[in-house]
Amino acid sequence: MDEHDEKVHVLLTEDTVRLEPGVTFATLPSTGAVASFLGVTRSPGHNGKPVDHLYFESYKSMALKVLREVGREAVEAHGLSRVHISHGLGNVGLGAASLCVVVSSPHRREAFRGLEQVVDALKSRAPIFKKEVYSDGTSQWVEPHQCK
Amino acid sequence: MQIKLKLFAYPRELLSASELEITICEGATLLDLRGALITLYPTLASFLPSCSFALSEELIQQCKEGNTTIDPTKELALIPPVSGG
Repeated sequence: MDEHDEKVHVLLTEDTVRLEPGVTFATLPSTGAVASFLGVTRSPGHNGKPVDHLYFESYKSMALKVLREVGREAVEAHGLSRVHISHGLGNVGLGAASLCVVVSSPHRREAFRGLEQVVDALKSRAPIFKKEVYSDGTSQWVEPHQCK
Repeated sequence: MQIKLKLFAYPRELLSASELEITICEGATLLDLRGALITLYPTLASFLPSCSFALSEELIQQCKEGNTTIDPTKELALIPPVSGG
């Protein structure tokens, strides 16, 4: 365990993704800023069709490794105190969170910048794959150029 | 030599397999494997350009596939476009 392992917590879970554990992990007496992001299932989907739910799968061992790297990079770049990343796997219904990122730092600017870096980096690098399942029973795997 | 290739997402569904066993020449590169996949699994051909390989959980850039020799003792995976979040 290096010095950043205790600062970075990553999780891939079949359970509900929740904000509170991340906030608890990230909040320290020294952290004046705790910033969070929830990625939530929305409808319509990328092609305009009504979405029933999302389905996520991952190359789990590699994804955990990449998420740790992403967290450590943000700690290095912005002097963050803590980074928590949790991502849901399997089915995630409308309105439910598939991604939770919480970062903390002594001051707000570092937290805002670090939060954006973590979200952008994990979306472009972690081997996690999303399928939109539509209300009409059809489905489609989502490609990065469709993600904003 | 015999190699195993992990599959995820669309390729996994398309080929109804989470892992392929492929026979390929000793000393073959990832570029050779890409060619072999097109021959063995033509339905995958149009999707392959958007995929990369991961060797021991490290993503290999497509421009380096010709210089990357396959080691059958290392874990090999086909990585489709990522879309987490």
